[in-house]
Amino acid sequence: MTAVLFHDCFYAMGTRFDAVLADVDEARGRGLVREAALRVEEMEEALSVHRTGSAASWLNRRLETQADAAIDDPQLFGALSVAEHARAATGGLFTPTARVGAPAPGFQVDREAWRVEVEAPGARFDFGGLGKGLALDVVEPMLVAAGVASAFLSFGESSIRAVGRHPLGPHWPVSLRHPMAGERELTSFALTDACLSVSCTVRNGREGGAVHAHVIRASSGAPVAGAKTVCAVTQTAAMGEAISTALLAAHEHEALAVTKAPGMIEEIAEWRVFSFDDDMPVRPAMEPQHAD
Amino acid sequence: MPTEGRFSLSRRRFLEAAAIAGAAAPWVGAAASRSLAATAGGEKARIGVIGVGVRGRALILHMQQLANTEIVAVCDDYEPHFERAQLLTQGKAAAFRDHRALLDMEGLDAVVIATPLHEHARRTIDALDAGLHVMCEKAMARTLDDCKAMVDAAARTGLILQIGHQRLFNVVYLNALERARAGEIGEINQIRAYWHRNNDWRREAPPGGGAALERKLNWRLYREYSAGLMTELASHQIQVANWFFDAVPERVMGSGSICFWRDGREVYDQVALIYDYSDGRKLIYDSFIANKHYGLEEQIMGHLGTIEPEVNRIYAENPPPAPGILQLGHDIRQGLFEATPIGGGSWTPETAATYAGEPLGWSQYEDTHLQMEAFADAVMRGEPYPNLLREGYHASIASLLGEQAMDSGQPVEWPREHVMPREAQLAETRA
Repeated sequence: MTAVLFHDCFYAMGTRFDAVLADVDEARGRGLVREAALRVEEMEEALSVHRTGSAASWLNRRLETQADAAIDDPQLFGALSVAEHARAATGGLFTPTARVGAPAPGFQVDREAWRVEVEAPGARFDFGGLGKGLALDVVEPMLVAAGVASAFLSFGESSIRAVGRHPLGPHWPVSLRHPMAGERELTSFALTDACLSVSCTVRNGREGGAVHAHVIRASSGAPVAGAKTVCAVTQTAAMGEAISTALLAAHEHEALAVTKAPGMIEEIAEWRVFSFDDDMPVRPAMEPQHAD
Repeated sequence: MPTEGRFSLSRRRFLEAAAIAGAAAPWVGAAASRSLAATAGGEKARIGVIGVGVRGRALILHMQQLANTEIVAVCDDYEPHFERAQLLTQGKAAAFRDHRALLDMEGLDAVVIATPLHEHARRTIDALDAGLHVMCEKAMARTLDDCKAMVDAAARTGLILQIGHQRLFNVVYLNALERARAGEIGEINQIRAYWHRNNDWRREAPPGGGAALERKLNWRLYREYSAGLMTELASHQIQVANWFFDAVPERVMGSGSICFWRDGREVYDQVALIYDYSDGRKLIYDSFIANKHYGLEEQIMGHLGTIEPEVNRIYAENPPPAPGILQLGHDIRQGLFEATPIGGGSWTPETAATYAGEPLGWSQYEDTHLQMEAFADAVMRGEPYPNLLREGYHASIASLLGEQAMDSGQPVEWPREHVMPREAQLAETRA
């Protein structure tokens, strides 16, 4: 039995962040989680488009009438850089400029001059699809630098970072519940120093007969229809979010292309897509895939 | 001390709290409407600090980091404190040994008073009569009459008198209050508060100083100067109780003793009191300085839940099913290597011992920083915050009445003359 374990949580980015830290006592744990909360808050303060004073909101206001902008906020610059890489790596299936009803505009980040350029004025960035991953990618190194060797970080149970191994076993075992039959397991993972991102369109805002989708196909602006769950195990949490979102929007041939693209083999350890309909609880769109 | 970046976050969360604080904390809305950070013109309140002991120096360090404050004078009649104050201000602030000389100085806007308790009233009233706004550390004064005299002087001069209860600017407390006012924990009928430490509170006097110096430095231990635990600790937590009950107590009963630190002190080292509020509500309070295991807390108990602001927690009486992540911690503690279920609630805690509650919200507060910035802002605008003095006044009266109850062994009723009307009530009266 592990001697010491600390668990605490806080709310950020519209959801709950849980940190389970092995071999960390309460006093140290409170300090570490407090520091994590501070860093996540700083990130949200910069990237949230729901905060009118954020750097992201400022950027969007500027891009209403201009096609480029200088960036002076390091958090925003970092997010733009990751987003640009994610967009390229997913063949455009993931982009923070996705919008309903029209193709997503492209963008370029000048990393020397700290500028971003969009295809045309009116483009708008929303980092909601990356934020939790970016936050986990900031918190994990902070904890590791502080000497934490074993931890389970969960952001809303959809973005997960396993640090090291489970204190009682060789990996962190995770069981993903079936979205339509919660008492059943849909699939499971064994995580060691890895990230798991889960994206799902089941019960995607079916209210009053209207469908409210939170995932948009970037190429057309059409909401992703159909009930699917996508899981991706990756090196970094931000890319995991981007990849799981991209695979959610992808047709089968697109998904295979994305996962076999240069650079993605190193990033993606495994990925799984499950498709559901009202009659059949589980109909895998394709067999579980593991990176070569 | 917070970095500017981290304090900026605290300020923004504080201003957001203004949108929800409402009538429960009208000073927050007032501060937000005046835009605490709007010192674009570079205006600074010119502050003199009277009393540069431990607390006074801490306040100086806070104020030195504020953009809207300049410390232009310091005063202490104890030579080591006088010298340290000059070092802290790099000799840039004028230094005085007599507060009256400081008050005569040109170019002052306000003073901060952080002297021993028994000196608060005289210095506050002198400052107000000199035309200066005042921030006085809690508790207000040593006697009920002195507290009243301070309030009367503020009313007479029309100047700002603010008392140092920083929880009134604490975002966790403001969030907690909002959730309580929204009914999340139901009807609050009991608040249990305690403050436990394990030290003798005694400061070492330099050799050769004699009994007079020892009493001067250890003023908190002698009744001539302080009510001990009641004025130095309890007043904070009684303020919180009054705030959440939105009332002042009707009576108080209590018992105090010197049970451990029998070192010649005159104030109790253990106090236990019950404050009765209207409709049967009670504050159960104790403070004890011979054990620190339980620390401090205010347990605000409603029929639907409980709030513990010191640890940033709110608890439902009937907790919802916990996320699977909570099962992970439970399993590890039980020595179980089991898969963590995600994607749906799957485990309900069995006992209160395993239910850790939920965080109240943003917990990285810098309440003293916010309080001092707000004071400077009020000084520059010449307008006190609504109902803020009332909170400090009632907390001070309550702490002194508690002392009376313990000393007499009898319940003490709250004197009507020591109930301060709200701003709205005063406006109605004037109308």
